[in-house]
Amino acid sequence: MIKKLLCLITILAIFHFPSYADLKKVVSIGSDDINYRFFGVAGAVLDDQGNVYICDSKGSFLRKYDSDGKFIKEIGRYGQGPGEFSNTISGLYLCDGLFVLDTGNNRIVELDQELNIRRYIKLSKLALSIMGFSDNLYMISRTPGRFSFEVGVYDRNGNYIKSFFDRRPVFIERIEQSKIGQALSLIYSSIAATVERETGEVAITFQWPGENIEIFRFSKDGEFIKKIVSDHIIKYDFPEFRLKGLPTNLRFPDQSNLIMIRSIHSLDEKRLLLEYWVNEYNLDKVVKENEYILIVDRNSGQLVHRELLPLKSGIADARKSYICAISNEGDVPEVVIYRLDY
Amino acid sequence: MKKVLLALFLVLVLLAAIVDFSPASIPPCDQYLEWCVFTYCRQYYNPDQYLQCVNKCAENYALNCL
Repeated sequence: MIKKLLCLITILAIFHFPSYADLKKVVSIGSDDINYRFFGVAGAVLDDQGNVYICDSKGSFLRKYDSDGKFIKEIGRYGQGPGEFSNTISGLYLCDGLFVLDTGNNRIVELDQELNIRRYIKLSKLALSIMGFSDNLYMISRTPGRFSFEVGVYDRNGNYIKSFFDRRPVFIERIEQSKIGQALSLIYSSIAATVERETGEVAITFQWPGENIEIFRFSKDGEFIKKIVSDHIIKYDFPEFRLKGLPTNLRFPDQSNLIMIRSIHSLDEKRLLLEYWVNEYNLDKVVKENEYILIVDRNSGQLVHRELLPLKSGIADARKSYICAISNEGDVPEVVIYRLDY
Repeated sequence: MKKVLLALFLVLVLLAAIVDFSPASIPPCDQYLEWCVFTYCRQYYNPDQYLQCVNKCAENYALNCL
């Protein structure tokens, strides 16, 4: 009887009262030293050996560090030529090589893990994010002719294969059809996506969620698998006044909450990680702000863990128990690797 | 000689200004909004700053593109 009771309490503790174990800082990279100084980190990824790759948009470079945070190599400088990057780098992805999304130069740079450039892939339209699996590259971009977003599938040479994901949040339907309304609907229908490293499964979520967090799972070829739903950690309705159509209404959130899913990451075949922002406002003043990591079950959508993230950080990459966070605040931008034990 | 150096200096300053503030990196109206929200504002890891940035994108879009 006691055993059963203990078991029940444990289950309740796991599923209904998520724990708050500390994130353990493993490595921190960023100082005034020339090989460790950053100007505006745009992306960071971890490989299986624990090496860290960091691209700096303002500095137009890509660097590699070992698992202890020791500098190994740097390539890049500002420009449009071979070996050069713009100062508008939008992302970095690791998948059988490194892929740098150089938005300013309208191209993707593919490199091996020793930072030797393999090739350049010219982009035919503005890509907002890049991912990959096997021979596929996935890019988030605006759906042609619509105020929403889709995931495009490309081969390794950048040739277009197909697109998928044709959805917008339900609350978007309440936006008036004025021109500014269309602009707002574009902003509020933005998506974040991740690719599972073993299976290639793609998980997509809306960055501005409505009553629930919806996550849409697709196969590596873009076939819909299922939708899972996860609850917010506070009571939340998307505030109606933001949909009225005037930017000045947006500027003053009144008494409301801002909830945003900044990014989504696949930890493994069972778990997804959401980077979850909660800001509480009173008029235009922020009265409380928190950044969380939410771990949800990939099959059920059940929230299995939540964790406070140090403020003003962003998650660039996550795999298994390791999280790679960027902090561009303060004099010394840094990249911090955490270990998540819970 | 001084005038030549001064002229050279002014040319260099002008070139630096063109390079630094070149509008080439800001895309035209049909791509401005998604570029602004998803590329430019991505540098902000503070939710409030990010929201202000997104709002500014919408304002700029409304002012210059509608």
